[in-house]
Amino acid sequence: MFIGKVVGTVVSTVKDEKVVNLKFQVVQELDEQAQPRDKYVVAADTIGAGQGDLVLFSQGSSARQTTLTDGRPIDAAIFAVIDSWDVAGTLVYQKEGLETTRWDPKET
Amino acid sequence: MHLARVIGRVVATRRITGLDGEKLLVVRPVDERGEDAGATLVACDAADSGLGDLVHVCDGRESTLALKESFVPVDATIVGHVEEFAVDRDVAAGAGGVADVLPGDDAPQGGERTRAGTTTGDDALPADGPRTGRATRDHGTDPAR
Repeated sequence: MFIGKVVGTVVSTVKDEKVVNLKFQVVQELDEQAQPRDKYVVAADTIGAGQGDLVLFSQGSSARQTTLTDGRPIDAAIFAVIDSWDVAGTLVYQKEGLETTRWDPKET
Repeated sequence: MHLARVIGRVVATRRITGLDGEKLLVVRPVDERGEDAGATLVACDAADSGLGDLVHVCDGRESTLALKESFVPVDATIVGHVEEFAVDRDVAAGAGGVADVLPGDDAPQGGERTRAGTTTGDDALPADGPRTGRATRDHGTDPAR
């Protein structure tokens, strides 16, 4: 899985009947320091992520393992909205308006 | 599967049903020398890993088999801790010529390819010991375990 930022939506009217009623988002991959990589994917949104949200997405056949994408021609799926993440004990990103418990590496 | 170092943790409360309770960690892939190799990724944790641990990560759809619920859209899972690993430089040379860049080479020149796969044991390793990576945590004395 990679961290990504939802940067756009995809609207398509002419499409296979198996991808009807799915929401597709354009996701830009981010590295562990929240810096954008020059890599974009179109991913099926299984949890209702919004524009600008930082999300986790999976790729390959794993992306079909949701009730929404099962048996459909999908190879990328958003499955979580990120609240925060740490690298080496340093907070890299925290979603606005959310108070989450900081991870203290000394405690684990 | 590949080797990786745990470098961080991801918090995501809004997640798909079935992933409840699964720990999400940021891991940096490492190569056969223990050096950074490739783009960092996020992996589920099936091995109770912590920051700094050297682990092996299973990729692809099979990675969900290590989790409590296997019908989840996960494509990377930490399946084990690495206490130590070693690379036989002669075998590696036969596969990709790695011996050229490893230090401590006192082996006869030009014979690596024919010796590949046949030289095993201590004789095949450099003077400074095998090419190894070690876990940074001492599991034996860690009171948290």
